[in-house]
Amino acid sequence: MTENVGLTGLELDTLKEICSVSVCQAATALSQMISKKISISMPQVRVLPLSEIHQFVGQPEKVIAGIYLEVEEEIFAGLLMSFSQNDALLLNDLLIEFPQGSTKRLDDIAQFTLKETGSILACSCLNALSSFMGGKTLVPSVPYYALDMQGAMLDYPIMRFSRDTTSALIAKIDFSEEIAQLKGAFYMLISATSLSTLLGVNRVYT
Amino acid sequence: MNEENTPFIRVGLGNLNVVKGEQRLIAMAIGSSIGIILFDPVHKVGGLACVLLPRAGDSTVQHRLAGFADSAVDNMISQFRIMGASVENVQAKLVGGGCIFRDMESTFMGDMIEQNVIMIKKVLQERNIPIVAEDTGGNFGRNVTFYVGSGKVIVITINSRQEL
Repeated sequence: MTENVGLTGLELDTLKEICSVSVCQAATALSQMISKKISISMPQVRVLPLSEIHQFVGQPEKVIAGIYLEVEEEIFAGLLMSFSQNDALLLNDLLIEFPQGSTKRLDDIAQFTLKETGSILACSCLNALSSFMGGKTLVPSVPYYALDMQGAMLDYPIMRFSRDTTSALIAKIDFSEEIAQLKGAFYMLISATSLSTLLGVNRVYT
Repeated sequence: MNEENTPFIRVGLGNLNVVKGEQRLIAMAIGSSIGIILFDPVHKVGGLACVLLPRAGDSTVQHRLAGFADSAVDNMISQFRIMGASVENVQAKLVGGGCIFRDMESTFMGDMIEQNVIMIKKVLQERNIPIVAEDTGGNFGRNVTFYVGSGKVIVITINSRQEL
């Protein structure tokens, strides 16, 4: 079921375009950081009831190394960078230019590296998003790290959003690096109440 | 009958299910949300709800989903009645309310999650439903399997497994 919270077709298309470009910027940032070519999937953008976000993401029980950031001013959004445990170790090697397989576990230093990466990816995404909003300042929170179930991490934004809305926009992009076989994903969730700010219109979407 | 082979129903976030007899209710990846398990051991009726907030009044908009403890518990109780269970026997178990991101515990979010658990306990207390077991808090997500036939609840996290 799709629920478009009162958005017109044109508005929905606009949002899809804005959010696709923004999440692609996150992948570009990653590519620049590891100076490697990154292939991306077609970004998927949906406006969904909160209870269907888990289904859209799929495999809620999958264990991932996730970096989560929040935006609370101007818009209400959550950003999540997700890598499987092995991919997180591999990314760490790529970032600090160690031979593959050097990082054996996600210790404090590895976690810190991942957090900073997540922060940079989120900031590039928000930069693109803010340029569509006439240069409004979008300030992300500090990055949070966890190694846990994917669905459990998404509970946060869903819980926060549920106070004012029944739906949210979710944008997803998968990226992969061919040579080292690195795979990851980036999610952006925006509360339906913030969609009017994004579009620059004077209406309330819930 | 082997409990592992009984039919199961997956309960998603903001949803609830009530069943009778040898069945399983499964909720995957409960993070900061809270799983409320109600069980009538005499009539073997059980229900599981994954709620986000304690009260429907906590949200400024009308939700269709069963994301609130008070309305979800009332809904489950009325379904219990229809299935022939008596409300006096009902026991509750609580699972979830974890603060997945460790660094977030000291922030506003950590407090909010803690408060949610306290408020949900209050909601159950108001309805005179005793909480017989709970596994809340911590820094991890939980997979919950509720065996309605025996009332057994298995909670699996990424590095532990326990029975409630």
